[in-house]
Amino acid sequence: MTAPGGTSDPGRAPGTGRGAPPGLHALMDRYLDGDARAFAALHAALAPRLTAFLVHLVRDTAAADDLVQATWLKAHLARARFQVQGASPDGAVQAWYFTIARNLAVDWLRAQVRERRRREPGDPDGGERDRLAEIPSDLPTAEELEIGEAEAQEITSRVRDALAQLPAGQREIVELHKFQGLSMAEIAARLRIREGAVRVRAHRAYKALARWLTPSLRALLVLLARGGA
Amino acid sequence: MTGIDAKSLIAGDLADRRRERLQHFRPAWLVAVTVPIVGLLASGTRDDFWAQPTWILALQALVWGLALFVLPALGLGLWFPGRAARVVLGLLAAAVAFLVAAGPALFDMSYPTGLEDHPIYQLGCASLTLAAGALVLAVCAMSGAFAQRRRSAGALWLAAAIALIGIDTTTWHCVITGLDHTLPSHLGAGVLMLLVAGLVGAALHRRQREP
Repeated sequence: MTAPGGTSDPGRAPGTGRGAPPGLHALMDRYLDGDARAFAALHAALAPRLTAFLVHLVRDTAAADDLVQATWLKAHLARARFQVQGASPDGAVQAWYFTIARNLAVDWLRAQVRERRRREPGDPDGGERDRLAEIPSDLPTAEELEIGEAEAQEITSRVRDALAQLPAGQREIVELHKFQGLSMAEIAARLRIREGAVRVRAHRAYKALARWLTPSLRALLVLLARGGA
Repeated sequence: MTGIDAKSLIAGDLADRRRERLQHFRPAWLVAVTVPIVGLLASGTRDDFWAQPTWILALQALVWGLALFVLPALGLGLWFPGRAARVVLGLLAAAVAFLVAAGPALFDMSYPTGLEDHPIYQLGCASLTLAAGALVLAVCAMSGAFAQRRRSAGALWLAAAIALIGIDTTTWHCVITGLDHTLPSHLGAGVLMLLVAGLVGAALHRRQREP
């Protein structure tokens, strides 16, 4: 297994600038300008390290693969906030991706703990707590990189923009259904229309939203909806 | 595993952004192309246009190609050549601008018109170079072209394109090829345009990209 950050210990934090492949910052710079080839090269340079890092943290290959995909998508949506911090620009790029990966791993492990407690109230945490304690702490925090808040804001604003484009009748149904958790029957009762009409409007609204949200954002929403990623 | 491939989704997203950028700037590009055409229709093309040597005509065509296609593609983030190619393009743009303005005189293909150091013609050609450049600069400024690249140095590619448009418009209009005339009023005005457009572009880049 390739050690993230070029170290022999896959659990060691790779984002402090040491061992970052050279040229990462030049690739990131061109990717941020929209260069798809630079992104492909950046992906090739970092993907094996990210995969090894996440497999080590969550000890679940399938979950780690989902988390790697979510890492790329989250970083992509928040890419406008990327800034070089510290002495090594290449290290800053690596730290950016590995901090996002670490946060996703922490969220996933916490979700596993919650899920296990819900299913088996008497059972301790099945090792996830130990793994949470093993998460490296020498990476910058999400707050330091201004990405935790930024990525959430980015997703929220994109979804909000898409919602704002819906006709009022459809938007109301989506808000009642998704944000207030009402069933179709409850929405029909509240709006005093037939349930069939609610379903038709909701179907049209979700179809339009799927069209307006970019594929990368839709995929990230799918990943976030699964497994606490 | 969800089977989601982030790499191809992001590549698709970047391709979509590039398409959107292309669509957004197409009208501005058409207006920018119209500027030298209208300028030449209004002021008239040089009488000896077709009598110029073929290599000079080819150089002038190369300048149009650089100014209207290659440099805007770089400045707008539609094309990303490597560092070596960018250096070659920068040097090529400078060399052809110089050769288009001074080539005929340097290669002894210039003929005296007696107007080389006449201030009215010098002022007229410098004004045409600056006016054509200023109109294209206004188009770039209003369309947000200077804010497309992450670094303000990207604005220099557009500034170079603007300067080349000014120089080539004047070259297609002016029959005087002596160095006394072309160096200050064609090339000199072009360099001035490059500086002005570069400064305006960098300032707009900072202003338009600030959150």
